[in-house]
Amino acid sequence: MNSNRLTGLIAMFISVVYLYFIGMIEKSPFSDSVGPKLFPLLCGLGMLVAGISIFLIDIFTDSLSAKSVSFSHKKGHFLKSPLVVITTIGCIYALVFESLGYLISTALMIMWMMTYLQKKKWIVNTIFSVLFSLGSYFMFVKILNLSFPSGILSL
Amino acid sequence: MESVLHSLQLGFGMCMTPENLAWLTLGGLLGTIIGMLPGLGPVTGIALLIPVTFGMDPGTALITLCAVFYGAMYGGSRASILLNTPGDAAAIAATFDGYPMAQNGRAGSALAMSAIASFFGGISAVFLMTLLALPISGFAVKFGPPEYFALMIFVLTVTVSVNEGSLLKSFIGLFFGLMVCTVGLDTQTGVPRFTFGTEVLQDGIDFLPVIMGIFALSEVVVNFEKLTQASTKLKVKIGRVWITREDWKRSKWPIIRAIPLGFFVGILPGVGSAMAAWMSYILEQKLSRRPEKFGKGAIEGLAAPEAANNSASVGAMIPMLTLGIPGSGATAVMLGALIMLGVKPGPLLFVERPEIAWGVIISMYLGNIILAIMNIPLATVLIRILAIPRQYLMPIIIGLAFIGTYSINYSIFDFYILISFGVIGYMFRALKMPPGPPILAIILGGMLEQSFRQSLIISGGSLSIMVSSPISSIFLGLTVLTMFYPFYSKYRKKINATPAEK
Repeated sequence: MNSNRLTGLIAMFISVVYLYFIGMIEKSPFSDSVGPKLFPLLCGLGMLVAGISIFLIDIFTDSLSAKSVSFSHKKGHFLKSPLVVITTIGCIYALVFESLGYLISTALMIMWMMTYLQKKKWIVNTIFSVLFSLGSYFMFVKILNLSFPSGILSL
Repeated sequence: MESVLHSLQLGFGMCMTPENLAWLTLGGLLGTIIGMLPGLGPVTGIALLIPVTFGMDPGTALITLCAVFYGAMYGGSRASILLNTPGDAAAIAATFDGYPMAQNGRAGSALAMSAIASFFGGISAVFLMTLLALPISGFAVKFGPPEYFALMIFVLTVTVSVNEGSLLKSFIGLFFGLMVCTVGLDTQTGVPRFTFGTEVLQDGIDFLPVIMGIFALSEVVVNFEKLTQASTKLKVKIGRVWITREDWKRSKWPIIRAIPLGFFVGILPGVGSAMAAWMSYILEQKLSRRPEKFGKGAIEGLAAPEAANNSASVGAMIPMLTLGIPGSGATAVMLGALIMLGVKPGPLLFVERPEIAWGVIISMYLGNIILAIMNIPLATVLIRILAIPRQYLMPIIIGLAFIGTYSINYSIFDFYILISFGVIGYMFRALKMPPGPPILAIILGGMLEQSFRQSLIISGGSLSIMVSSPISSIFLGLTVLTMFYPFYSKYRKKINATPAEK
């Protein structure tokens, strides 16, 4: 499917779901004359019209200029594609961030990514990940006074 | 004139503290480095460095972020000249003659000219800004909700219509950004919208994880896909980083012409530094006595776009500082950061916090001097950064994106927002949707809805208030013209192409 038709379909789907949820916004006794629904309604309708337009224009003009959408992972290796790998690493990082603490979870996340990029250089990867974790902790917590979880290191 | 001098004095006092000078230098250096790295434009750079400003007072934060922005403009052309891979869109024009110069053994002259032209472009534009800031902010004080609404509609429409690619795709991106802004408690009534009964969404979706996801995370995914390709190695001999008298003679007029062009193009919403650099390059090629040399290493073909893009980057800050309305992705991110720090740029900034507004302007004068010094004598040191393998750089960007995201609310939930918008940003790239319109919509959406509703409350629900004042009528009229411009442009192209086909 070319990118115009896919964009149109996705836009139509999002706007229909969004418009459905506008109906679920509660009424407020303190509401102003405009209310909390009008602006979202205009946005949802705008997107729906744009989505339908791009889809129909593409069908009727049979646009040859719009290329097929390409997600540039190698075929058959979707689970190993950077998008899936980075998303998975990010989600696992979010899950363990508070329990393991910033230093350990960040070092592990960076090491996992480095290993994905260069499998054989595990010593360099380990040193780099630990240095990044320590360096960023020092900069943001000690110098800039931000607060990161200590996790199991606080025990 | 007296008030400008008094204001500059005020700004000078604010800017000249050791802390501000240190952050100004560091911001400029970080901006130069970020600008040099291919794929990392000023938007990503500013977004990644926002957490650094969390502990700062607003003036220092604004000075730092501005320095990152124009530092990125200085650095953007380094990779263009030496590797033929521009750091960002604004540096593409520098590849046309900068890279051939490097291939002809004149890399040192190209680097020096790029820094000199950037310096003159930047500092002259700051001078123009000094003259225009007070009149524009004085005019903008008269704006009420209808005028602001009309102005924002105009800015968003221009951003949509000047973006390359499909107009409808840009509109879809724009509405998507506006939809994101409607999540959370309604500011006027306190009614929850699209929160699905959760508490975490009641405060809405913060712009920082959204920007970092759409720009930084998706950029890293794309870079991961390319990392298997052979990395480019720096093979060019740099030589002496300076220009000859002949180089200056050829370049001085192109630089002088590029400054006002870049500045006024930069002020226009949505147009940006890349367009300024292109226009300036084309102008010089047309005016040149030796147009055949362009693209083969003509130094004036490098000087003009470099002066124009730096001038445009300063021009782009005028609507952000004086009206509180950003006209580009980078200034939109800066505005978002300032709002997070409790400062609302706009006309009242010059009245209520003049030391901040003028301190930033003074910092731009100093910043351009610092960057010129940094980029000429230290050019050979700085370009070593280009040799850093991306295998190390990409995980650092991801790490910084997560740190920045966590620092806003200390909430793990924001990590999921970051990841989700990383996937959305990747989809945008795959679907060839420009990222500018959704970013601007996410930053302006809240203000747009507020001004829309305030206007209707004032008028008792009548939309006629939107055209009741000349200012809002002019902006809405321009909006209509802007919307039809792409169709007119297509029609003209068709008309011009028809005789040739016959």
